[in-house]
Amino acid sequence: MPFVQEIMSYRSISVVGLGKNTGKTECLNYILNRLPAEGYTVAVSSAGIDGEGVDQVTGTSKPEIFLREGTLFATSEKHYRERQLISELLEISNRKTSLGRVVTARAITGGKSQLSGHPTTQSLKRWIERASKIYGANLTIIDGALSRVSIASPAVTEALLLATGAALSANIDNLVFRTSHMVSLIKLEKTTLLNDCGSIPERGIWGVNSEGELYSIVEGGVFSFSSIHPQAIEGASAVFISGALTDRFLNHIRSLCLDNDIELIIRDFTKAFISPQVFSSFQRAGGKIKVLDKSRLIAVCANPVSPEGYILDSKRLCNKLSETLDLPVYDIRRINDEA
Amino acid sequence: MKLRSYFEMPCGMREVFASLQLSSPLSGHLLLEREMPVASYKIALLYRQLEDAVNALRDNNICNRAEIAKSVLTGLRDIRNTLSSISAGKVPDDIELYEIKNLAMISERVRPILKEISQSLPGLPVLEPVVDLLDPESFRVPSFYIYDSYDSRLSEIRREIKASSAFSEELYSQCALIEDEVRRDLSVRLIPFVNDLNDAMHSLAEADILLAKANLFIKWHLVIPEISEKETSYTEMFNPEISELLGHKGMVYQPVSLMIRKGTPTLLVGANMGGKSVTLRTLALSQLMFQFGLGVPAQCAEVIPIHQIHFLSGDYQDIKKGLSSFAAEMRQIDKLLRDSEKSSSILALLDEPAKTTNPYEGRALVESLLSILKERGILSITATHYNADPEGCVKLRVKGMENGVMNYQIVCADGGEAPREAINIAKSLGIDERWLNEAVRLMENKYNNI
Repeated sequence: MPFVQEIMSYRSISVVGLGKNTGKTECLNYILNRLPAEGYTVAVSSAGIDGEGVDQVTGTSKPEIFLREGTLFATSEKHYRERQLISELLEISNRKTSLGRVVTARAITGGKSQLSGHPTTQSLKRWIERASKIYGANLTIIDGALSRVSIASPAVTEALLLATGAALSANIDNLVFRTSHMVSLIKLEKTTLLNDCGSIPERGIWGVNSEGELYSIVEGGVFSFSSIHPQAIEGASAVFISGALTDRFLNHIRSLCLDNDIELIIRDFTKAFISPQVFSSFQRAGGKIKVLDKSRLIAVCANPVSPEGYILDSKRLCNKLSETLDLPVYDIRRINDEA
Repeated sequence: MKLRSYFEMPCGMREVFASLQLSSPLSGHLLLEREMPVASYKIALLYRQLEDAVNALRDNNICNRAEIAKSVLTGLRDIRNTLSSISAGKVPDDIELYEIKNLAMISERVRPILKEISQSLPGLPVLEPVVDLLDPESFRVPSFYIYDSYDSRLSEIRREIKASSAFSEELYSQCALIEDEVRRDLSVRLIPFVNDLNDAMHSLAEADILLAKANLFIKWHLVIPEISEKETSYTEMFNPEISELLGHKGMVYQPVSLMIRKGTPTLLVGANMGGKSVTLRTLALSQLMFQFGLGVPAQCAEVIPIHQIHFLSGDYQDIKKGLSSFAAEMRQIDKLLRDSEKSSSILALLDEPAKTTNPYEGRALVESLLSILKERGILSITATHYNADPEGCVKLRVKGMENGVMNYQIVCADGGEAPREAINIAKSLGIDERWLNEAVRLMENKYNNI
């Protein structure tokens, strides 16, 4: 069984899909099924509810996760009421999300439930901690959503798995190109310039001085970046962007950073909304982008089947991805068939 | 008015509320919606409870138990909707049953501790039967599901579900049907307890509020004031917020003492930066803290309960409403006068009324206002720089600069002269010297000759 052994060496992992129908749920179910059933407690939850927003509207059912007996899980009140398993309700959160409060429970029999989860990165982090400290979870698995909307970030887990597939593109080269861009963002290094003082601001763009302390340049988020004066970041060793890093912003600040050797720091890879072209041109010119939260990428799961009915050659796809990314790549369906 | 609406008054009530360490969000919610108590007996009851609690908390043993109660109370939730839907006959789901069990367990855990803390708080109803009903296997943990022991058929069918290798829709729905029966039965048996559960929820929130008040009382060195009818007086009054702020900078807040009487308007004069505004702000805050039963920031105090506070805090300019600061201020005072026609149970705190107009008219406006307030028997204090001296008023003065240091003490003012300290203070701020010297020259040569 590939990568299950490696997963077990972490306390928390997230499974992140590069797009819809890339096989994220299949990947989750695969892992959940192969972790030891005895003497090993698994906790499962989801980062945010947004990725499934479309399903809420169109009414098509969101894939359910199969939970084994003894698994801890957190989901919204709405999905808890719709669960198909017998479970013991352990606690209910204070904070409300659009689907109700977050309910933590333990499966008494195996069964199915949808996962929807924590509204913020902070609450997700706290839940992962509680799952291990209070309920004794050995491993917490987060169903991670990638989205522009500010939601709980899967980067709070120690490691992650990336799901990619034909749903993204029917052309193998294009699929590899897009996956490889995401992988390079996930691999962005952790910064050493910023002191982790525990009070990293939620908004605004900040300068980082040589002591590793933040100081204010402009407040109010990225949309006001045009008001950054070159003088304001002169002498800074880095610039910290609490929100999204976009192409427009990167182009705006590019020469400032390159000329003054200033590093760009973002919270984690989910905040980088930059195109491959802009990113690689910045990097080639010597520009540095680093992150605060970094999680290790364990492997990539590739799904050769697209929802429209295309089926790519699984072996060719996996080999090509593996060569380009220098990472283990698995087609879970093929592993299942071969097993 | 509700506590929430006093947050708009710039006196720091919001900060006081934020300093209350409430365990449950429900308590905060209920407290914010509370009308300000005005009747003396109601306020007296609040202070009896507070005194009990403060005395109890001074005992180390009880204090530790109160800490436990506080941590248990963090689980207290607002389940009014759940309770009312059960009494309306709706069958609760697992989430609602969990909430009820959780409430009953919290209540049972806090009940004995609460008895030790305050005799004057209403006791909690006995909810042991509810706990037993929702914890049939006596695990005494607040988690919940439809336990096997509710129905003999459950354990068998669940064993089958566990034994089957794939997920069986049929077995699961059979099990769900039995569970539904159990829930229906539980809801019928819970209905008689709905009132007790409701009472318990509210009493627990009250206990949470009382403990938070008592802790703040001890932490801020507050005092329980006497309830008075004729005069409000504070000895060594301090502003908790500013005093804490100064404390962080290693400085000490200089407390002030003063007394105001009903029907005797009090004027407060004195140098700029002499703390007049802070005194008025603190008076407004102390009045609110007094009436909501929090205790007041002073060494000792007696306070008249009032129905309304009118706090004219200074700049009312509101460009959005298209009012100049003068017009906005006039409207405020107009409202005070209208309200005072109906009731004299008002505390009026006026920080430099009519300050934005010329001194000639300004003084007349202030003096005439004070004589109306006197006539209507209003409790009031007015800070001003005008040389106003209406009949039958008491005049207090901030001591002011002494050897280059500000003395914030408030004393009786005797002379009729308005204090002339503005220039000295401006000098100590390092303001342009030529300008200030020119002003002194003008005062000496030109104005003295008028």
